[in-house]
Amino acid sequence: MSSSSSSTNRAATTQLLAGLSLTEDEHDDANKPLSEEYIEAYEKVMKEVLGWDEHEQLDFMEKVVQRLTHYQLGRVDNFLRPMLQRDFIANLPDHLAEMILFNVNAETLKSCENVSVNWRCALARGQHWKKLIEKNVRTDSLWRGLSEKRHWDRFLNISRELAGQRICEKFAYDFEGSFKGKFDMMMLLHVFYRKLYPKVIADISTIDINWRRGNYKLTRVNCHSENSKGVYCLQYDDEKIVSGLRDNTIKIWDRKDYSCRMTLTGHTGSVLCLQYDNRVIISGSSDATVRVWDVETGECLKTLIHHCEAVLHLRFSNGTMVTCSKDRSIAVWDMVSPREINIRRVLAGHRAAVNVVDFDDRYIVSASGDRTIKVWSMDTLEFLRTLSGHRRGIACLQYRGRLVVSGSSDNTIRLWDIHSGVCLRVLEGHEELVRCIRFDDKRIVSGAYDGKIKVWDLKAALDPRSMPGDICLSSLMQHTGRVFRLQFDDFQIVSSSHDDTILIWDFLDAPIEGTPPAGNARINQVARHLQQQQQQNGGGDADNVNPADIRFLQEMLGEAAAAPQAAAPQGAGADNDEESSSNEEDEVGRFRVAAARPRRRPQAAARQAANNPPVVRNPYLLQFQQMNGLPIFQPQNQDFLDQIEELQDHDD
Amino acid sequence: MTDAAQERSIKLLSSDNETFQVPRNVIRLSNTINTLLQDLGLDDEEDAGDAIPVQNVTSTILKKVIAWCQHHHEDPVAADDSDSREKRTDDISSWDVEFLKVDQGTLFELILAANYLDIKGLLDVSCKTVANMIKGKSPEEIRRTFNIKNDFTPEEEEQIRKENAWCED
Repeated sequence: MSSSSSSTNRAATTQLLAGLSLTEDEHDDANKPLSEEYIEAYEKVMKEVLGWDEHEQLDFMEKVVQRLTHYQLGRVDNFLRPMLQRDFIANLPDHLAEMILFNVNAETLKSCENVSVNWRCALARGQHWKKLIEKNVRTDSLWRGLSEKRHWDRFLNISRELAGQRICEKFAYDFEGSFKGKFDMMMLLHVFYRKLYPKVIADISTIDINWRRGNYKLTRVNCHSENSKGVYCLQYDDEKIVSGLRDNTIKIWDRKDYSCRMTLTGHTGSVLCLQYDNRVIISGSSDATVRVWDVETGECLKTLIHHCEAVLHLRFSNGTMVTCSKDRSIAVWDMVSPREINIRRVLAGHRAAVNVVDFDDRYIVSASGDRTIKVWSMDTLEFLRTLSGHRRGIACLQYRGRLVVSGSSDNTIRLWDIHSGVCLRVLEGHEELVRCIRFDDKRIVSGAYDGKIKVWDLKAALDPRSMPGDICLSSLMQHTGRVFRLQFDDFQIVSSSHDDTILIWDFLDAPIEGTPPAGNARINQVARHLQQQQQQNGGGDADNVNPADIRFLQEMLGEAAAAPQAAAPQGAGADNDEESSSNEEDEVGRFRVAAARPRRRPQAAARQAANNPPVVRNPYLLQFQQMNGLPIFQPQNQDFLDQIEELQDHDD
Repeated sequence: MTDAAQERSIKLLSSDNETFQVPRNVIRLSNTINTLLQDLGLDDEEDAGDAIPVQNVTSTILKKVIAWCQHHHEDPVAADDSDSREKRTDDISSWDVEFLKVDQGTLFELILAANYLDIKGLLDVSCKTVANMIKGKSPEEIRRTFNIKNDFTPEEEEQIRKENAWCED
């Protein structure tokens, strides 16, 4: 074979490959006329090549390709690459494109939105934003709570038809005439959820900032106790707050207007601890008894007489109750029914009053004025180990997952690993006895005898690299007496005090800091964008399905940003919040002044300098975290709980 | 199904008329074939019988599908997870990662074949692979990855730009 014929062959093959190209841009070379000889040879060669089997064809191509010049290879690459690519989303059947997109997160979903018209339609057809929001609501308590409080849960987990109807209702669109059963409705839904998503993200970030800055709306419930004033214990839900008072009564407050709905009398001493579920309230008192009440009627169903001194704390769950007392003992009970509660075992070991107990199906954890925390097996009810470290009596504690957090008369909070009994971190900052403490998977909230409530970052507390000064997020000072008890969730803290009040610290509807209100500015900005956009588009835009987009957005953002109350016709809750806030106008005003002060940084630094950091690096802490690749906190019995006593003798 | 039935081979015929012998307990991963065999009572027959035509699946792809089933037929049955959003995409086994290092055309055909043959594991893992090709990319990067033409009008582009501006604030 002569060299000239081999180069002809080479060119022929290149052209052959080029013939397969789908690309349209053929430049100078491609337009060169092909010779007669070539066309004749090409057909023959092609016929022969196609006669070979797959493997042989590949081998042949490889040999050809190896002899091409760089320039030719570049050209081959240009037409080969697109042949190997596929637009999966546009070309796969809908349900398969959906399966792919189900696997991407919000940030990527936003990118997908802007790839092409096809992709955007695929997202709309698959209702991906809606499904993403629904998933978050299903798996994240913050999303779930927010969906209820902001009333957008009514747009979730419903059919397209119903969703379309509700959205049209909300924005006063003509559902039957303009949207029902049309392509426009799909796009309307899509746009609605796509815009809802960042709004929720913004809302969540605002709440987080409010927690960090100590920015809240305060509601004060004055208990007006007749003689001995003070609220020892409480538990709340969305409808009510149940509180145990120093004046021997239990009072149930209606969260709509914070009026006293019911007063339960019977105890002959202060009500020191209580817990309720959907059937009963169980309370412990300094009269040494435990009483069981019907949560609906307030009727006293049962009185348990066992301890010989004040019942300082109790907890119940899944048919088991644990009580502890100033008589230094712990009692474990079987709860057969509200009227049939039998003692199972008495746990003795503490050398002073047992101030607090907590338990799950593995351990009972108790803490005492004897400065120790003791761990008991739930299974055998045997004593397992003592957690030592606090330098004075322990007033409060919570146990969840494998973490125990305790507060003490030595003014510190300690975090413990229940399995090893190792102290993971000491939190200093309170200036008096730490009387009550709660934690969830984000924060620790503690209340002290000086009236202060502190919010701590739990993740930072568990991070061995955190400096002590960076763990306390905010210090809340509104109580004028000892803080006795608190409970909190993603949106609020509810606390009670010796000052005879219950305070609701609302981080969801906190006043917006600074002027002008950011919310209005943003609405105006978006409105301006949209006006320009409408002028530019002037119609004919397939994607611009929403004729009243401006109003739509204004309302949506308005609702998010402390804004026009007219925009919330559907929320009974919203109206109530409004009422309660007006009652507390002066409190809000007072807070604003406080919020303008320079924030905690200088204080934190000073504190750090004053108290030599007790635990800077704790090897156990790191180990604890590593062991906890699994979530430390298994959410269990969210609806609980507990607590406290009179704390006369914290020190033995 | 008897042990003998488990042991025996099933014949599959690709769209381009190539015949493949597949052990019965390997092909059970395909719900489509499994149900077909059960419904038609073919499991009870002694004789391997006629090849089952697998329309729309070429021999190249069918070969890959069978290889996947071969490797996975002894996997424990995964708990049926109805919520596909809960799944992670970083849990693809290294064997599958290697297996799916193919051109997009093949991956595309594999997804279609896994769907047609109703092989849940293969469908999941191939969809996740595509999702991983999308993840973390900008719209322009996605277009480049899949050779997609930006067909938004300049006005729509402008609208997108503005929407994103307020999404991010």
